[in-house]
Amino acid sequence: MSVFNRIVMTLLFAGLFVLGVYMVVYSFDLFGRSLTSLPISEFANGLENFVTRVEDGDLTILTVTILVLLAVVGLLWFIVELTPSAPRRVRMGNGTYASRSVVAGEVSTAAEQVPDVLGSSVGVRARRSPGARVDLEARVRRGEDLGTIKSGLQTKVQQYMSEKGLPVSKLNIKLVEADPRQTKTRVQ
Amino acid sequence: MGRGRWVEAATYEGNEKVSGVVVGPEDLEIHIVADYPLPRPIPEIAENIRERVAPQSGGRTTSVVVEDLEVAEDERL
Repeated sequence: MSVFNRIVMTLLFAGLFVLGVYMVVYSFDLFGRSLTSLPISEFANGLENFVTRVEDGDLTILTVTILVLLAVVGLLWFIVELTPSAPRRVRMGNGTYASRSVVAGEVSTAAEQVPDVLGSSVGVRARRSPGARVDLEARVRRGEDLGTIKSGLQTKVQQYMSEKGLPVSKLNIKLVEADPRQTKTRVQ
Repeated sequence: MGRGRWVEAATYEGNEKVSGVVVGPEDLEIHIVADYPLPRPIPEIAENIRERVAPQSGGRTTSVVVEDLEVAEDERL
């Protein structure tokens, strides 16, 4: 269960608990409170009218749209809930795992060994299957041959990672032209 | 030994806490921090650890988790 869903469920159950306490208090006329004293007649009438209109199919387009949206949101939420969460660690196979920061650090090291790369930032996502999905953003000087740099970078990173035994199942490289004065390294 | 991000990689037994090892009924997790540069590829290091630990693991499935890589201190400095 995702953190968002946990928060929603916690608030929902807290609300239901409070309502339950009120229901017991009002149902048994405790502390001088009774159901007849509740100002819910207008709400009950409104609800009854709404249900009648739903049964008669006499709803405005806005109401129908809101109900459909609520149903779609509920369905999407349900699907998200059923989707298994991504693992935290990168599986290397045969009971060995590496943290995402280790993989990110090694990819960054490999990328910055390429002479044309002035700096890099790396995003790593673990997968259920062995290997990580890596998004590498490398900063290069303006006017360089991006195609050549990209293929060289791809080869270098794959080779370096395989030497270390860290599997990368998917490597996305994005080259960003940057001003050398604003990058980590000005000259390689 | 690695401790996990929130020091969650630990085993509690009585009054004792052992960091870096999570012992379950059927599995065993060993969290390590490897020295950099690596002497061997990580899978080989993990395999060596697994072999060393196997006699004491009581038949548990052993996983090795590499938490971090640290630059080893140069003794000449």
